[in-house]
Amino acid sequence: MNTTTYVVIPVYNEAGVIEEVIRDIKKQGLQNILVIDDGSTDNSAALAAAAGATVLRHMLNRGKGAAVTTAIEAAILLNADSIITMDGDGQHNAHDIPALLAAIKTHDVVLGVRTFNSHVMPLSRRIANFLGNAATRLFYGLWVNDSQCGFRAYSKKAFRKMKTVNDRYEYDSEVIHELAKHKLTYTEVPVEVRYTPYSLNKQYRQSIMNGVRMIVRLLVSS
Amino acid sequence: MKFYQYIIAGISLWFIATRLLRFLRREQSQSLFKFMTFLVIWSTIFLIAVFPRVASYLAALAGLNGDGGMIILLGFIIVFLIIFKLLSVIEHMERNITQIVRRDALRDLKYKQRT
Repeated sequence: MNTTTYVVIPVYNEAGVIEEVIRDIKKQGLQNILVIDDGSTDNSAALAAAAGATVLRHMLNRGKGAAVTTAIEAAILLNADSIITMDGDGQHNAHDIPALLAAIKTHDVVLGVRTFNSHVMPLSRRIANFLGNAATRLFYGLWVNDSQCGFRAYSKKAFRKMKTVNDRYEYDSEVIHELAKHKLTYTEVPVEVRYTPYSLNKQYRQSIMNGVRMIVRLLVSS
Repeated sequence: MKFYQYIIAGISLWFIATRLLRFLRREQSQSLFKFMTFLVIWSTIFLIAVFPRVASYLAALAGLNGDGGMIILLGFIIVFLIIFKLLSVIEHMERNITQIVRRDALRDLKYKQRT
């Protein structure tokens, strides 16, 4: 049976890498690529459209969580059977997509788990990730190995059931809450993370302060 | 207990009960943080209404004993409530803005689906 999988990429000012990200996904044989341009001030949207993605545009920057939620609503409209979410800054390797696709056949949600190796991931991000995992466990009652990884796959059942409200990076933790709330089955799949000078220079990525900020937001909205 | 103490205690219990029900119903706007904050504030008001000496004890505990201690303590509570209300209003507005932005982003897609 043929299934329709959409790859969802929330994008904010990623003109430098978005074409390459889309090309890499297409090399994996996936043609349905949905880019949510979250109010970029550069030409990310035009470049993504030129590279062959379907582009939806937020007129204002609302955050990664808001962009993924918009993509999920779009996926429902497009009658997608499953979706894969990945970051638009090139830190996720499209070579890992087949592993996620294989796992989503038997689970409702597949969570990517990044390599927490000191040679690969900077210390500040490992601390931020630990804070994120701990906050997720505290507020949502479920411990997962990487609550902050955006490389995930969702079955139709999962993305139709999930109702999230967080707009920013705490969205990734809220998904864990939805897993527990709706008793969705999940598995964790190791994924490669590529910290390039480009992705490390991006603002508002995982840092210790952002980990603390996320905990405060979880407190207000949990 | 005087009549006004019964009134304040009743109001406090009513607020605690309604908030508890909203939290138990898992209303999306009712977060754990909000519920705990309201519980602490209205429980304190209830205690002060039933046992007025608690107010003096709390003021002394906070180092605010003296003539103006109670007024400063009440001032803190009122400022905290105002900030909390403002945060809730901002959060609500943020979510409304996101809804509008999302509706706009999906408009073309919905149009294509219909035609």
